[in-house]
Amino acid sequence: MVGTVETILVILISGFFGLLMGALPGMTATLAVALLLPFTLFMDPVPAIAAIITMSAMAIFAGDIPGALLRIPGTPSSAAYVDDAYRMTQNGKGVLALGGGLLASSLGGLFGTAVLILFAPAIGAFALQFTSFEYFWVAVLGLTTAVVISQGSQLKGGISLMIGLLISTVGIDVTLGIPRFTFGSAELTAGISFIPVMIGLFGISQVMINLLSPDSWSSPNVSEVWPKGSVGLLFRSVWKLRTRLLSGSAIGGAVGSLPGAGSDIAAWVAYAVTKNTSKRGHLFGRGKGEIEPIIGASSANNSSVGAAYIPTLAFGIPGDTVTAILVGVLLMKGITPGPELFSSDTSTLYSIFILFIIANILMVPLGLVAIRASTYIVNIPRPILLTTIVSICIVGSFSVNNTVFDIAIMLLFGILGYFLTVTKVPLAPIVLGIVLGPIVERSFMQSMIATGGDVTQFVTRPISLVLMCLVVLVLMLPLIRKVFGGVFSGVGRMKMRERL
Amino acid sequence: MSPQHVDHRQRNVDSEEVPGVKPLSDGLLSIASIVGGIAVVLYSTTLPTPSGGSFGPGLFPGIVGSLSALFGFVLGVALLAQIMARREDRTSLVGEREALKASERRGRLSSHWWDVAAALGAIGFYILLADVLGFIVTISVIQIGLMIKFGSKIRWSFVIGVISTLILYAVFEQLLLIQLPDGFIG
Amino acid sequence: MRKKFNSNPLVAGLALFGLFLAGCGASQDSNATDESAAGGGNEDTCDIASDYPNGPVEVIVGYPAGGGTDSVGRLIADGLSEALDTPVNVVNRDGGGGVVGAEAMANAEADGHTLGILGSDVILSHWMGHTDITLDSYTSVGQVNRDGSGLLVAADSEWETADELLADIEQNPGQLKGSGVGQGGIWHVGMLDMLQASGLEADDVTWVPSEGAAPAMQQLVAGGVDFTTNSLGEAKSQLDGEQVRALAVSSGEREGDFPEVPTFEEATGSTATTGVRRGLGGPAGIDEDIVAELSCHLEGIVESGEFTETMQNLGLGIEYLDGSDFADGLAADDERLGELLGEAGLLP
Repeated sequence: MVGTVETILVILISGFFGLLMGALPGMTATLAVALLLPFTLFMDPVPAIAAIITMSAMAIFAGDIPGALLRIPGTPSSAAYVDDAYRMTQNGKGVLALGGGLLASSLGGLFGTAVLILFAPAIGAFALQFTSFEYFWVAVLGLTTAVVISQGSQLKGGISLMIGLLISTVGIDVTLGIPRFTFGSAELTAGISFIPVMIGLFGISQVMINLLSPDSWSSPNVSEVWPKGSVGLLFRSVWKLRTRLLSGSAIGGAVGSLPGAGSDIAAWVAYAVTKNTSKRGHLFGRGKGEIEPIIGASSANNSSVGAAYIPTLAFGIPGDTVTAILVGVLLMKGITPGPELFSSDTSTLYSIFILFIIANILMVPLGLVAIRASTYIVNIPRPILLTTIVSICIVGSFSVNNTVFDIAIMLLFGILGYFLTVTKVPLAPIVLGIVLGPIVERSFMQSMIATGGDVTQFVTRPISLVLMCLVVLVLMLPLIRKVFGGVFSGVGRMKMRERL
Repeated sequence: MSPQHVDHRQRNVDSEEVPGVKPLSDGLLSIASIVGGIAVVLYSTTLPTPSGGSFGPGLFPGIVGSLSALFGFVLGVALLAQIMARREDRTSLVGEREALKASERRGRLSSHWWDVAAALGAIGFYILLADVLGFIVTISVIQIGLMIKFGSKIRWSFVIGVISTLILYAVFEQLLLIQLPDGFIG
Repeated sequence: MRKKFNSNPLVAGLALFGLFLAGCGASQDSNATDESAAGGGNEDTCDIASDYPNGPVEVIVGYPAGGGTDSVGRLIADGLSEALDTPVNVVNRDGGGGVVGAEAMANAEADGHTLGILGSDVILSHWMGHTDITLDSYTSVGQVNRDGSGLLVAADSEWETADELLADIEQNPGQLKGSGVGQGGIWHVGMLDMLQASGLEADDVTWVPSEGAAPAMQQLVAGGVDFTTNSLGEAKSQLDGEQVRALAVSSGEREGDFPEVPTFEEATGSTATTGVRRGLGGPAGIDEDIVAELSCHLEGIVESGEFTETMQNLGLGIEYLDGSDFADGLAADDERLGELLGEAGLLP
């Protein structure tokens, strides 16, 4: 079923399309798949699924490209390590950042597929035990990463996170349906979308920074960005960080398999874990740019893409927004996702498995071509590049809702982003707050309403308790390591030697 | 600029600086967080609680607002402690700071801030006029205008500005099927 | 996410998607030339408004891509595109529980080129004070779908019949938790209707708001809530997978896709028929001839094989009504929903 010319053609085209979508600011994997919907209506089930899988996998990786080259993350999951990647590019290591992310994405994706193939029914059944109490802790676990990534200025990270959470509360309240912070504006009733905010915070503020300090603009030529023997170096450096790759993939697999917790949370949690367990963690997000967190987080977000299919296929409960659309497509084709997919009609299931493997392997050559092509961006003359970034930011923000209101939001957050940057407030937690805010609030309010305000269930339910301990552990780990520093230093030295 | 200069700039908490020329100081951030947080808490209390429930839509923003104010407060306290600690060597900094300020004013306000104003103005221009003029005209004007402002040759700006606009139009409108404003042309 | 979805691949007109479709085999090269697919009504008899359409038509859907309302919108857009021989694009404008799309539809120009999916849930939001827009802000073209509110419990729960569940609610007021949609949403009212019919009070059940049927199903299976009252179609996967059990459905008669589920009346002896109806509509004031033409095409679409089959796959019930009957139905729903919300003390 997979080996037909039609399917292979669809995979190739949607792969390129996904790369393009992911690389443009404002275009997310969800949007790419939504755009594809009318075409899937005409396709047979297998090519339709092939298009969705390939496109979402490619788009998630491609979100790294504008992040590394221009400090504008293409997707929210790339926002976690955008500063590391951008600094590496500034230091002439852009290919290493992007290529490392690419290999990690591909291998993480394959890991997620393996999890999907081997454990789907068992993991799905476990994930289905998650009620609002457990979701609350998973989301809080995601939020703690804001504090972890801004080590040294946790307070500023916290303030930044609160800004994001407050933005997420604008509009009709997620649980009770009461308008908040709308001040009578119809546009605000719909809430503030995170895409214009993200484009403003990172894109516009970066344009302002570049305009104000033209000296900082050094345009590395392509041979610097893409030095000879890059591909070999890439594979070697990723191999050195193989444990990081594994831990990132495992986190992605675990988080992705929870319904509603997508690649964004996976990338952030993996980033925090990488930072907390790495001897060089204090250098992440600042300094010269480190590849280690990129490997960890990149593998996690792509691993979660495969894992998100676990609850979807096993029970028909979508794991993220992309799989929510997939469920709709499957149902329209007369395929009901659920346990019988694993027992009666396994041919569709096996096609999905094979498609995942193909998409993740194909990602490497297609991605390398995309990276190679995109390195020319840094050679565009500065006036043209900055101007075009402004225009792309405008169109990217506009295209979310087809409204100029979002462009105004982008403008506002661009200016705010500039001032926050010069005040050394990390910007990424704002994005995290907007993305996770509704999940935290909804699960919190649902739990409070369900128990009539009794908070004990947040800690007495067994899975809740485990998750809570994880949150505490993530927050305390830097402290614990400081106290037991001696024990870890030996391990740390070995890791240092392993690093490039 | 020597490393010491950078260091002083980061720790500087003086709020009489010209806004925007100096980085917004930690002090202002602290005050903004406290004031903003309290405002949010006050607003939250005005939100209605649905009948029968003891907590409503104000609960979560209230918690977030309180935390924001708390973080701002702790930041402010830490800052004050820092100022106290380095009060004695404060006077020696003034001279350097004045010099720094002057150089910043010279270097930035004069030309580069106009570039920023042009970029932000271009976005405002699109917001106001895109619906009337349409995407192609508006973005062409922005592309050409900003390129010239940022130092491109005028002739090339026109050529590249129009071509890049058409590429953007092709990618977003034709390939990604996004409905860009047509304006009077469409 | 407001996106233009081109139903006519020729209009997309791009090498990329040309290739896409070429790859899709012979089943459809272009729906403009293939009249045998979801064909609208007879073009000659339906061409009532002479100079309509004179440009692409938009169908606004107030929910994200992939959901039930979106599927209905796409099926209609697909059929209309062919019948009108013009591109008909689905535009998703989600946000605020459907309010954003509802306002966009009501405020659009009434020239017949902006239509939208109109449903009981859209009409409902003015009661909660989310919008000033009421039924008067719309023109109704025709209804295509109606679904009753299901009464669903987890497969491992103790309740085998609706009576057992309702008796449990009566004995333990306020203890059981229901879900399915946000506070004051259509399925919340569906539950209120069932409670009222059984002589129970609104606050005998704790309503746990959810952002839609899918997360509510997750909560139901995980044990976070005791029952949900969303449509049976929204629970199709879980029903087929035997993770949940449908005790009753609040429709006049058993639903075609789920013949084994008794109506609420059969199960309990009392009547509750709150459900959602969906159809095509537009802003108030669309020319009568245009409405008649659209309505004529819509009837043809609903009768087509492709529409019936896909609706069945999605578990959505087909019920066609013309424009005025649809408007009457919505008005009756509107009044009934407001009454139920008022009695439950939920109105602001």
